[in-house]
Amino acid sequence: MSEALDIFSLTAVRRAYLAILLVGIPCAVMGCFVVLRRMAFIGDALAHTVLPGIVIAFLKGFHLFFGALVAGIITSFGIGWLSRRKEVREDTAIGILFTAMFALGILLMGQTGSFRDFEGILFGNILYLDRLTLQAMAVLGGLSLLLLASVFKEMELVSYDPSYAQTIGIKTEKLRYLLLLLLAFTVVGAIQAVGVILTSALLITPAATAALLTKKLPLMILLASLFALLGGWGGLTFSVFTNFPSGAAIVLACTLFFGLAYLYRSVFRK
Amino acid sequence: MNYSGCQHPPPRPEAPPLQVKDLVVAHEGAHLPALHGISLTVKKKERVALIGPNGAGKSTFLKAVVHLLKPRAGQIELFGHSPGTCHHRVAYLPQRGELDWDFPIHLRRMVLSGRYVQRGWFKRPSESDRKTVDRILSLLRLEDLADRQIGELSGGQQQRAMLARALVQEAEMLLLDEPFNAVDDETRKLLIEVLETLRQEDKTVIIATHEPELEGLPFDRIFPFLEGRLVDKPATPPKPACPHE
Repeated sequence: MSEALDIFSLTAVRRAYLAILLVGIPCAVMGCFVVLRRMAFIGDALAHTVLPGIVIAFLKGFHLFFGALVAGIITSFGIGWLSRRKEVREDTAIGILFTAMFALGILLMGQTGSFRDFEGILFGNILYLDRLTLQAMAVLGGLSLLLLASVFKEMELVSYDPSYAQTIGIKTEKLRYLLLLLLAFTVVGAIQAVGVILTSALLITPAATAALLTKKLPLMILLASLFALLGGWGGLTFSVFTNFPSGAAIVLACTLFFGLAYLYRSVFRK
Repeated sequence: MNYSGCQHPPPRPEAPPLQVKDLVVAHEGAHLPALHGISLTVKKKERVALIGPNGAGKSTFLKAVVHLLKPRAGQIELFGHSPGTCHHRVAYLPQRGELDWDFPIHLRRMVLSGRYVQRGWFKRPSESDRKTVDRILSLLRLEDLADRQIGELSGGQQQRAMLARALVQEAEMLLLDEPFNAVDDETRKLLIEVLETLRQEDKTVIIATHEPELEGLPFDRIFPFLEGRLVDKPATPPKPACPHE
C-alpha cells in the first residue's frame, strides 16, 4: 500500500496531476462554446494542424511547445479566414486544411529519421512534462480564461444570436477569431497531456457531458470543468497503477462520465 | 467602451430618425439586388408599416437599416448619422427563426442582453438594468417564465421574449420584423397594447408585416413593398373606429 502511495511522491506524477488541472479547466470552458456553437470539427482540426509546427521546432531545436503554439495561432487565423470564404463550404475547407497540415507534419517527421521522437506528441506524454511546459500551460490556460471572462457576455450572445449581436455593434467576426485563438492556446496545452489524436476529446467530451445535465451555461461550464478534472485525474490514476497509456486512459475516463450522464438523462428525463 | 469603439454621437437637430435615399441592397453572393432604389423618410414619433408579400424586401430593408446587410448603393441615415454609430438608438426585433433557441440560457438573461448596448465592453449589467428587465417582463406577462430555458417557451412566448429584449434597450426607434407572424391571440393583444404604450412614449416604430394583419392596427403611414421596390406613394390608412377592439 505504502509503495503504491509512494508513486504520488514522484515529481513526474505530481506534475501530471497539476497538468490535468491546468489544461482540463480551460479545455472544459472553451469546450462549452465549441459544443454549443457546433464547432467540434474545428477543435479537432486545430489539434492536428499544430503537428508541422512541432516538427519544425524539433528540427530547429526550439521547445516543442512553442512550435505548437505558433502553428496553432497561424491555424486559428487560417481557419477563420477560410471559413469567411463562400466558394468552399466551411467544413470542407477545414477538412482540407487540417489533413494537409497533418500530412505536412508527417512528411517533416520523415525528415527527422525517427517517428519515435514524436510518439508523445501523437499520443500524449503527461508523465514526462518539464517545468517549462507546465509554466506555459499555466500562462496560456490562465490567459485564455481571463480573456474569455472579460468578453463573456458578448461571447455568449454571439453564440446564440449573432444577428442581434451585430445590430448592437458587436463585431461578431472578431469575436470568432478571438475564440479560435483562445482555442489554439487551449489545444496546444492539451496536446502535451493527451496527444494530438485525443485532444479534441478533452475539449468536447466534458462539455458534451455537462450539456446533457443542465440548461444553464454557467452551470454547464462548472460541470464540464468538474468532469474534466474527475475524468483527467481518474484516468491518470488508472494509468499510473496499470501502465495503461495515460492519454487513452484520460479520454476513456471522460467518455465513461459521458456514458453515465447519457444513461442518467435517458432514465430520469423522458 | 462602446461596441462601435467611439462615443455615441448626439442626434442631429431636426434630423429624422430614418432617412433612406436610393438604397440598393443585395444579399451576400447574390448577383441581383433584393432592393432597388428605395427612398423613404420616417419622422419622429411616427408609426409606419412596411407591407407586402414574402420576398418583397421588407425584412431586407430592416436588415440594411440595422447594418446587417451592407448597401450596394444609396444612403441610410439614422438620427442624422450613419447606421454604424447609432446602435443604442435603434432596437431591432428579428424573425423568430434567427436565434438558437436550444442554447442553454434562461429568459431573464436573454432579455438582459438588450441592455448590453448601453453597457458596452467589459461592463456588467447594473442593478437598474435588472430592474428594467423585470419591469418589461412583467409588462409582457413573462415574469413567471423568467427562469425557463428559452427553448421551453411557446412560439408566442418566444415572440414576446424577443420583443422584451428590444424594449429593454429603451431605444428611440424600434424596427419590428413580422412581430404578428404565427402568434397566439394573447400575444397579439399584448403586442397591440405595447404599440400603444410606445406611441404614448413618443417612440418611432417601423413594422414589417403582411397586409391582412393590419386590420385594427393604427399606423400613421404604410409603405407597400413589391419585388424589392416601393410600389406606390406611402398611404395614410383610415383610422379604425376603435383601435383597441
